[in-house]
Parts: sequence; C-alpha cells; structure tokens
Amino acid sequence: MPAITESEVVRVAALMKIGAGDAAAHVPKVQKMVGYFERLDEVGLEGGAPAGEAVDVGDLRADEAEECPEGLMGHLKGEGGEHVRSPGLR
Amino acid sequence: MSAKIGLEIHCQLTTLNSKLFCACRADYRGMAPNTNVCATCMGLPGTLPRLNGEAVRRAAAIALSLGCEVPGTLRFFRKNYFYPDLPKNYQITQLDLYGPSSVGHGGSVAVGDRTVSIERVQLEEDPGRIVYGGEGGSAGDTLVDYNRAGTPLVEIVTGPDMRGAREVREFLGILHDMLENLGVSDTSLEGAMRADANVSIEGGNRVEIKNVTSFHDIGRAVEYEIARQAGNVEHGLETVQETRQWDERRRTTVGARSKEADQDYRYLIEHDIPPVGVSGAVAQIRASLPESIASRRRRYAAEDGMQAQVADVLSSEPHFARLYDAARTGENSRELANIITTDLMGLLETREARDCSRWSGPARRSPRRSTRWACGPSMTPARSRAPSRRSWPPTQRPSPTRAPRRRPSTTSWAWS
Amino acid sequence: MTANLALGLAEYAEGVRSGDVSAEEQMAATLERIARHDGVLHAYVSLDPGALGEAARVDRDARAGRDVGPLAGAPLAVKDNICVSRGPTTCCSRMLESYRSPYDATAVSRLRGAGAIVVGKTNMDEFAMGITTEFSSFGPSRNPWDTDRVPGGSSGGSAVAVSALECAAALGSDTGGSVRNPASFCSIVGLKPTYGRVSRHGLVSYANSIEQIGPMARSVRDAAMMMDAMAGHDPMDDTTRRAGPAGGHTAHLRDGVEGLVVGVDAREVDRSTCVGRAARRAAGALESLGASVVDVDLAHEGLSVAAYYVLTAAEAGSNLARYDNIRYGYDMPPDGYEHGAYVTAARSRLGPEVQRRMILGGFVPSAGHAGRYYLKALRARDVLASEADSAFSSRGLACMLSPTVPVPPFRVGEKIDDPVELFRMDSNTVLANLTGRPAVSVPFTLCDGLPVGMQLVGRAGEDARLLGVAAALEGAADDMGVPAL
Ligand SMILES: [Zn+2]
Repeated sequence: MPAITESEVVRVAALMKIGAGDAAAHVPKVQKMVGYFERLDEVGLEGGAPAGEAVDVGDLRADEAEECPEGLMGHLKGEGGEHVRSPGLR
Repeated sequence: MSAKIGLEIHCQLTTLNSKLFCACRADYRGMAPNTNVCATCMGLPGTLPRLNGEAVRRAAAIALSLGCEVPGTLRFFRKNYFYPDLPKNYQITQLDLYGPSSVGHGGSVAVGDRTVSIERVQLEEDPGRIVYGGEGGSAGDTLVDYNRAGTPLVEIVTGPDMRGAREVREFLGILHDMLENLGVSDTSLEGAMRADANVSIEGGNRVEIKNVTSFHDIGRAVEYEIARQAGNVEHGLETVQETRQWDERRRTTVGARSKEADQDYRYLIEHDIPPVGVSGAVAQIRASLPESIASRRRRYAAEDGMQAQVADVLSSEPHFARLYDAARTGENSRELANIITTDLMGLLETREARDCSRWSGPARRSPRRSTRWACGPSMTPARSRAPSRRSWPPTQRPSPTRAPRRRPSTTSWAWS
Repeated sequence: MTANLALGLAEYAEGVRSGDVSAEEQMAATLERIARHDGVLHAYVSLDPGALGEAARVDRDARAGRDVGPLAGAPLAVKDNICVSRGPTTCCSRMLESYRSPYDATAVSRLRGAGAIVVGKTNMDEFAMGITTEFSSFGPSRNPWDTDRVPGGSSGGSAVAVSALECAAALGSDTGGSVRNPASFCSIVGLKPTYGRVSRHGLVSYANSIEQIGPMARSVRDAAMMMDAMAGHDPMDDTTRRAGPAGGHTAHLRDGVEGLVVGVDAREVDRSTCVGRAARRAAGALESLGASVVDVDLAHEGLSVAAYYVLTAAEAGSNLARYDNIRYGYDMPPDGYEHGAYVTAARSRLGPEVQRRMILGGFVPSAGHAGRYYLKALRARDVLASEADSAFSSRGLACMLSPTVPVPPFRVGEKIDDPVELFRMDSNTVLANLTGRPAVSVPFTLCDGLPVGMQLVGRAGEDARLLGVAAALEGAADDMGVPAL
C-alpha cells in the first residue's frame, strides 16, 4: 500500500484549497514522492529543537508606531477607508 | 454535580504603541476600515514579521505575574488555516513543540482556597475583524477590516481546575486586576479580553465554549453549560465532545458546525523569527514588576492596620493605590484610605451605574466586590479607562507621541 | 563611443565616472539587444520603461561630479519573485499576473542606491518551483548556448540575461540551487550567500528557512561587488545577521588557494561522464595552484534531497496560502461563492507543479504525519549540518567541490517525468541550503558545446573567502568564449 492513499491526496488537497479535479491528476507522482521521503526514517526524532542562532530580545524592533503608508489600498482590492470584500462564510 | 472548567483567555496588549510584527498602531479602535494597515500586516508578498521586543517583555511580565517560568529561549510557530480575517492564512503563535518555548508555563493563581494552574502563556497575533458575515450558503458578502490584524495578543491557558461559574468569575476578576495593575492592557476596551471555556462534569466529555466576548457572559455561559450537561446526565444522555458557540442574545450555547478538514493546523516552525533569547531580560523584567495586589493588600493590613475589606478594595485598584501610597504619611493613612475608598470610589460608582444603565440594563453585582463586572459587553467598568492608557511600566507614564485620538475620555477626574 | 556590453561592473562604473562610458548609450544598446534576441531567449517577462531615463540621469550626475556609486549605471535584471516598486512582480504565476508591489526589496533598493538601474523582471519557474524555467506561466526561457536547451532554473531568465549580455548583472533567488543551477547551465557565476547574509525582505517566500537572494554575474568579481552593495543586516528581516562585516567581498579575490584544503565527494568527481571528468579536472586545477584535495563522505547525504523536498513543500504550503485572491490578485468577484469554494476556484490558476507541492506541503506536516515527515526532515537537516560541520573542522576544509549539476543542460520539452529521477538534479546543490552555507557555481568547461559549472560550498559566514577560491577556479577554467547568438 502506498504511503499516501488517493483519498488522502484529495483530503489534503481540500485542506490546501486545491480542487479535487486538479488533485486527482497528481496522485501517482505524489505517491512516488512520498514513498521517496520514507528514507527519512533513517534519522530518529530524538534531539532537541532545530539549531538556529537566537536573537536577543534587546535587539528586536523597538515599540514605535509609524504612519501607515498611504496609497497601500491602491495595490489591493477595494478602496482606502473601505472594507475588503470576502466571499461569505458558511 | 461538580464540574471541571478550564479557560483560555485572550488578552490584547493594548498599551503598546505598535503591532506585534509591524509599526502600525496597536490601538486600532475607531479608525476608518483598512487605514491602520501596511504591507506586512496585510500579508503582501515578500514581507516579513519584525517582532516587537516590548511585546515580548510585557508578555513575559504577565507570565511572571502568573507565577510562570519563562524559558530562556522563546520560539514562534505558524498555525495554518484559511480564513478571511487572516491575511497570511496562517497565524503566528507559540507552541511547546520541543519543550517549553512559549513565553510562560507552569504557573498558578490562588482563587480562594483553590489553586488554578496556568498551563501556558503565549504571545500571538490577533486576526482582522469580520464586520459582517453573511449567513447560510453563498448568500451575502463578508466584509473585512484588517486594522486589528497583527495586534499583540497574549493567550493564557489554565488547567481544568475551576469547579463552577463562581470560581470562574473570581479567577477572571483576579486576572483582570493583575493585568490592570501591570498596565499592559486596558481591559475595558471592547474585545480587549475574550475567553473560551472548557467544561465537563464528572466523567463526561469535554465541551469547548467559544465566542464569549465579555467576562460577564463567560460566567453565564459556564452556568448554562453545566446545567445542560447535568441535564444530559439526568436523562442518561452522553454529552458529545464538541465546540459550542455562546449565543449572546439567547444566552445559550449552541453546537457549532464542525469545520471538518479545517481543524488540521499543520503547525510549522516560524523561521522568519529567529529563536528569541530572553534569559538576560527576565531578571530585569521581574525586578521592574509593580508590587502585586496581594503584597499590597498584606502591606496595607500589616503596616497601616487597614481593615481587611478596605485593604482588599484599595489594593486591587492600581490608580487609587498609587494615589494612596503617594499621599500617605504615618498619621493620615486611615483617613486617606477612607476618603479614597468611600468618597472617591463611591462617586465613581454612581457615575458608572448611570453610564451603564444607559445602554445595558441594570448593573449586576459580582459576588466578590460591588464594582466588578458591572457593565456589559466590555469586560470592565468604564472607570478604568483613562488612567491605564499607554502606561507601562505603570509608575512612569511616557508622554504620548501624539494626541489621544477619537475616543473621548469618560473620566474628567483623571490625575495623569 | 560604442557600447561594450561585456564590461565588468568595476570598469562600467569607472567608465561612467570618467566619462569614457555613457550609461545612457550602454542602456540603449542593452535594450536594443533585448529587442533583438529576447523574442527567442525570453529572459525577461517585463521591462522598466524608466531605465533609459535613469541612465541619462546617471550620466548627468557623473558629469556634475556627483557620487554615482560603485555600480553606476549598470543595467540590472531582477528575478520576478523579487519585489520592485515600479512594474509587476508576478512570480511568473497567473495568480499574481496583475499584482504590483508597493515597495522595493531591500536587495533591490541597496543595488539602486549603489547606482544600478533595473532593466526589467526575469522569467522563472512559477513561484521558483522548478529547475528548467519551463514551469513559468509565461512560457519557457531558452539557453543562449543552444536555444533548444533549457537555461536551468528556477532563476533561468536572470541567467539567460547575464549570459546573453541583456544586462550587466542580475539577481536570482536560491532555495535549493535556483541560482547555481542556471548559472551552471548558462556559464555564468552564481552565488547562494550564507543564510541571513542578504535580506529576504521583498523576496516572495517559497521555503523561507533556507532561501537567499543571490548575485548572478559574468565574473566572480562582479558577484562580489554586488554582495558588497546588498549584503548585511536589515531591520526589515529579523533573520539577517548583525555580526560580521557587511562588505569586504572583494578582499580575498587575489588570495589564491595555496595551502587550502578542498574536499571532494569521490562519487561525484569520478563519474565516467563528461561532467564527472570535468570535476576531477577542476580538483586537479586547484591542486596545481597549491591546494590539497581530500575525499569527504557525509554519511547521511543520501537524505538531503528528501529532507529538502519535505521542508520546502511544508513551508511553501504555508507561504503560498496567502494567495487566496481576496485582498489582492486578479479580478474574480466573490458573488455567489462560499469562502472555501471561492479560494479553491481562485487557486485553480496555480500551475500543476505548484499544486503538487501544495498537496505535498499539506500532507507532510499534517496531524498524524508530521512526526514521520516534517519533524524528521528538520531532524535530518540538523544531522546533515553537524556532519558537514565536523567534516569541515576535522579535515580543515576551506570548501567542498562538486559539479553544480550532475548533467549538462537538458532539451526544452525533455520533461523528466519520474520525480525521483528529477530529484537527482538537485543532489549537489541542496546541502548548502539545508545547512545555511554559502555556495557558488563557477563556469568551468563545455561538454559537447554545453556549459558545465563547478560548485564550491564554503564555511558559513565566510562568503568572501569562498569567493576567493571561486576566483582561483575561474582563472583555471577553460576559455569558453561567449554564446554565439
Ligand atoms: Zn502593519
């Protein structure tokens, strides 16, 4: 049995807002790729958080407000000072 | 029948100047829609979060005040889900995936003779606001205002340690006083504090109540939910494990439609924010915390010989307590405490009752203190407004960089 | 004066300053060359109509004795996933075909500040997902060395523009080889800097934990000059490093390799292919310049591509979630749609490669599977990083050498359908991304007339020293001439 079933591909596609019709076409390749990923079992899960250089809280952005850029809404749908329209929620 | 209740409280850090990840204003209220936004908080391509260091410090101050441990390194994660109020379609939040890395864990608060454990405190961004949601199928638009998107929010998660609505109210009262005392949040602002409750009764399934936007209603919702679950037990019905919405108007909880696949949040590490080292800062934050309400109460009772009830009232009002501490001498303490608690606070209460009756029916009395939870729908009486704005640490009030906007002060007596 | 489009950036700026070179003439000649060749090559997806005017202004400033900057007048091509405040930024996706960014990426604004002029935006695989530029929604680019061949990817358009003299230098982005692969295929220099060295502010995120903007140029020196102009801490990107010098990338270009230790993976340099033989010859060339070459074998290197694909898919799934067409995007009215159905319908504009990675990206970190894939890939990345660290420190390596890509450029349309076969093409490049190390591709030779580049992977933070080794290898490379167009 493949590491990811066809129905699982469709479920995940829906989660990612990819249509079911589109998803079906990807099943064989996705199965093959996920099968390839199985080799990651070679490493365990022990060990702590991923390594990464920390930044000190003192070096983070200072709490200062700036004027919001004018004309930003020109790059967006809708007009400045108005709501953005979204499709209805269930 | 005894219940187990745990709370998840969301509290905005309203006294900050800027949002959590950009320089737009944290104070978004009263502005024309989508005017308090920038490329970052609108999630435009190529933008990156720029973490507000002061937000981290204040979240840590809350965690410390709740008796939590603050880990030396904090981490941020992405909670992924599609929703129109979420510009990036993920929320930057915290998670203890590799051991504790949220801003706080393992705290506790004494509520009467019970101890309520604080499992976790985390710093996260508030979504935008959906101002009109069409109902039913495809009918109607949803209109979104992103002015709030990216506002700093602290989530406080308690253990299932409360046993009834009375303890819930009492815990929230203590929390509210603490936040006000810290000066990190003006909890009187609408939506500045919201809570979800997890309720179960003996052996039954756990029900999560969402969408409660006032402290007052949290008590009611918990009461209702306990009664509903008890009714189930009486009739031999099993309580379904589910999420229910609080219906403010009908004062009931109603089963929320499950969002099926949307519940899989696919948590990822937020690599745009490096791990944040706070071990150096924590000692300094701890040292600069204002005196706690409990310690103030003890001090008033022990040093000034104040009556327990007076000490209780005065200590939990940071502005009055500060006034008292500033004015007290060895001789005047008794008289001063009386003037403040009777005359000044009494005067205020009258004003408040008048303000409340104008728009939310008769004021309700809380079991603990007469002035708590008087007004709905905001979490606290209007009185606490002016003094706590933009004042942290609470003892120094920075001069505002701009004149207060849009919201008229309800208090003419403020001494700031 | 006749324009010389092959000028290096230093000569260019010096000429503009002294008046020997006219930025305006150079720009005009560049635009002319684009007009002549880009119909076939398709390096650009949009041109900035202000470029010629800006070049004239640079000339005026130079004549007036004003500081025109170290990159004065240089025509710069910018990959279309890097934001510019004028013109489109589409990531070569139909999802963003009408999107205009309100701001310049930090790398762009810093290069502009140094005097460079943006000519236009270059073609790429949609959202940088691909290695041939064939996954562009606007059609493929073609390799100037053989227009039946792909230029590599995903920064294919930038590589083509540099190689075909359609710009002086270009910006690419490198998530798993996207600068180095097309640099190798088009016989130019491409650097993937140390993670955190160049600001990602304005780079449209694909896999944000490992990608960097990188310079693509006709010489190592030009790449180093671009780094001097754009590297360093940026308050708009919390992952940029404060420590270390921002500049100084040209400081070691004449150092040579005397006494340095260079690691090679025996499996890669001894392949009985033209590319394998070329790699062995490159190692020999460094040896003859005084370096010593040692075999290095990383025990878990076989996991690098799997870890890379899992992490990039997971991060891409999150990074591309914002393209829901609600706040910005193309015209598609919400009327009659429920939110989820609308977003799904709008996202049907994403190309098949992107959709596939969205599905993978939804799967590998999902509840019940994260422990097996996403968290293991993070773990594998740490294992690989510490293996590489100990190899570098125990052997005293200055860098590691391999072919950038195991094969020469493929034919256009020669689709490799087996995804696992395709994974092999990334096998040499992804390690540098997973471990945050700098890596550079240097043109070395031709195999059957097709370019083959060599990759050098260096020590984290030591981009300047890596460029020093790259300059030595550049000096020892075959004389390949220029593509005959
Ligand atoms: Zn903003």
